[in-house]
Amino acid sequence: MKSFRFVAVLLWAAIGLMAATLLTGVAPAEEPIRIQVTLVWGTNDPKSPDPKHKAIGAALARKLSKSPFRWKNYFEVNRQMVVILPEKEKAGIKMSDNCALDIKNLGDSRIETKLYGKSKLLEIRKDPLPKDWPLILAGNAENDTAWLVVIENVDAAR
Amino acid sequence: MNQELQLKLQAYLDGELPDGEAAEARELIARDGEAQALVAELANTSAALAGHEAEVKLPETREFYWSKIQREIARQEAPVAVPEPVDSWAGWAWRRWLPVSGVAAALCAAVLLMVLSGNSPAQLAEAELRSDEMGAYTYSDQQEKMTIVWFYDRGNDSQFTPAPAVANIHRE
Repeated sequence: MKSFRFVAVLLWAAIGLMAATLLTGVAPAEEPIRIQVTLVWGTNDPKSPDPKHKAIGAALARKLSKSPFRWKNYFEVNRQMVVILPEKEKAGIKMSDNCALDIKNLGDSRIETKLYGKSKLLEIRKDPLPKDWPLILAGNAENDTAWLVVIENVDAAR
Repeated sequence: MNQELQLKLQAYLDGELPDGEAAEARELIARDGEAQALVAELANTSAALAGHEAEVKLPETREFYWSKIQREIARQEAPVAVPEPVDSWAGWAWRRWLPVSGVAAALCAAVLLMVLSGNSPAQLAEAELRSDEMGAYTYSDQQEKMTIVWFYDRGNDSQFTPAPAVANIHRE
């Protein structure tokens, strides 16, 4: 019975520690969010026909290599950095002639994304966007290639 | 001499035979040398035992002596009553409720952790497709920490078919 009481004390101590961690880990949500949006082209070709394209970063390449995608190479077509105040929207983030985004900062590392293709609204979505957890919007392109829009929170508080 | 006769001679020697049998025993001893030897041996043994038996004298009466033994046996066989320790209310609560509340709190914490950590960004996402020509799959990789939304054309006459050129990528 004494050992049982000891375990109970340990449980309470662990719970207290966890509660303290949770409470101190909650950062104020009302902060601007800095988002990097990258348009990527996935292909099995070793080189991009467009000399302006460059290889994607190592971290993103590693993630994509672990993804269900089976393209051998990914090239960065366009990259933009946007800073969005809380409850504000950055509209018309043009990634290509046919692809654009509106992104709204919902606070607490959440965003609302509007994806446009050929100026037509395709989808509205709301996602948590923690750091190191990118949101990737993707689809088929010509000749068994793919387009990917990688949205990353580059300075999320948590 | 058989065993029955031997026992009868021993009973004679102890004065336990009725008169008739005692007379028969006396006659047997008078005429039978083996009987005489047995009686003599029994008499010697009895005398030796009587002479060396330890004598115990009780300091009190026999009844009082045995009553003391009886009382001691009864006392040892009685269940031992453990006195309840006098304790405060806090001590009582500590003993009774701390283990139970500890387990309950641990369960609550486990549920809380599951709620907080179990939802990936994809699980917390809300999506609304605005084009009837497009469909979408959402894939979340918990290990690699990424959410993928894969768009596809629903119909052959879609303006995005063949191959939606959203990325504006053209091969030479």
